[in-house]
Amino acid sequence: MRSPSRAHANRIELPDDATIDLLADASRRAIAGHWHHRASAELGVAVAFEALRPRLREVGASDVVLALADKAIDDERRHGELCARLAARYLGEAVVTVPDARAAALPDFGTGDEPTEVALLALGMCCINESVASEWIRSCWQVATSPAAAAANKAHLADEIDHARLGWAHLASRAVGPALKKSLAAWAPRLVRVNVAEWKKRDPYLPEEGLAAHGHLSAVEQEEVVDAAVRDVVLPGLVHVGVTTAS
Amino acid sequence: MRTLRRSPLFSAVVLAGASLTSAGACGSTESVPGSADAASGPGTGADATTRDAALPTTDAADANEPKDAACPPDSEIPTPPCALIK
Repeated sequence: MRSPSRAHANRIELPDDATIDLLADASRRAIAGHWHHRASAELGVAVAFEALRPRLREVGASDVVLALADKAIDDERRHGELCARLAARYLGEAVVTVPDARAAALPDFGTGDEPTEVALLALGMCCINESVASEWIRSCWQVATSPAAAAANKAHLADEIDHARLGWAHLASRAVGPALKKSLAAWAPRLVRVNVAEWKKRDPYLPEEGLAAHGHLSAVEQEEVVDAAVRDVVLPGLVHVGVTTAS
Repeated sequence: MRTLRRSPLFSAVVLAGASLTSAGACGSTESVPGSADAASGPGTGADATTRDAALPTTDAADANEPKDAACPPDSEIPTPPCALIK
């Protein structure tokens, strides 16, 4: 554990928020648990992007994709620190404890072909996961009335959109040709399914009905948001970049 | 239950992302559209026309999946580490 938190150049400032003080202790602890867990996850994603970045370069990813990867690494570190600060705010603690990054080794899909492996990582991590994340955070932001929760979700959303764009930019680039796109199309439905299954898991910290004012959806709403992201963003996105069996 | 708006993110995420590297994109970070604009308000970033176009469903995607593809079953597909940020 690292404590206190590291300073970041682009630190996201949180506004004063009297609504946090009005919450019952159980709700404050639940939300703090969520943000502390999320801090570890965000830092793990930073590690994953750090591992992906050189592999993107090796397979000839464009400069703009590499720039977005650099930004994603910095963003996710900053998000981790912000999430830890939110956890402390909800607990009413002055000292921010930043957890260690969650283990985030990149998976090996076993294709034996590096451009395919990297494209699958971009597809899974960015086109699917970060697109779902963007829709999920947008929806959390939409329901949040707590100033701190709204500010945090807005800041996260702006960055997650760029992380999703990284994947769509790579798949639309010359680094991913028609044959590779056809291979990706064969994998896509299953990658979507495994990502969706993860996203639909219940948050162990939050109540099933959510805590909307603080940007936490109910379990039912969360499922709806994930389905909407797949229906409205991921699947039409795959068609848009030519990742179809007809390519 | 609250009614959540349909996603306005197709254009902000997919179209903007793909345009960075498709024909005409300059390949510079300067060409990255501001994502903050897409997150600047609940009604922004939306492209209802594009978003509401006939979209494939998950079922449709499954139906198009080649049955002889060299893919392992779902249980053997590694989950990307970013698959759960919540």
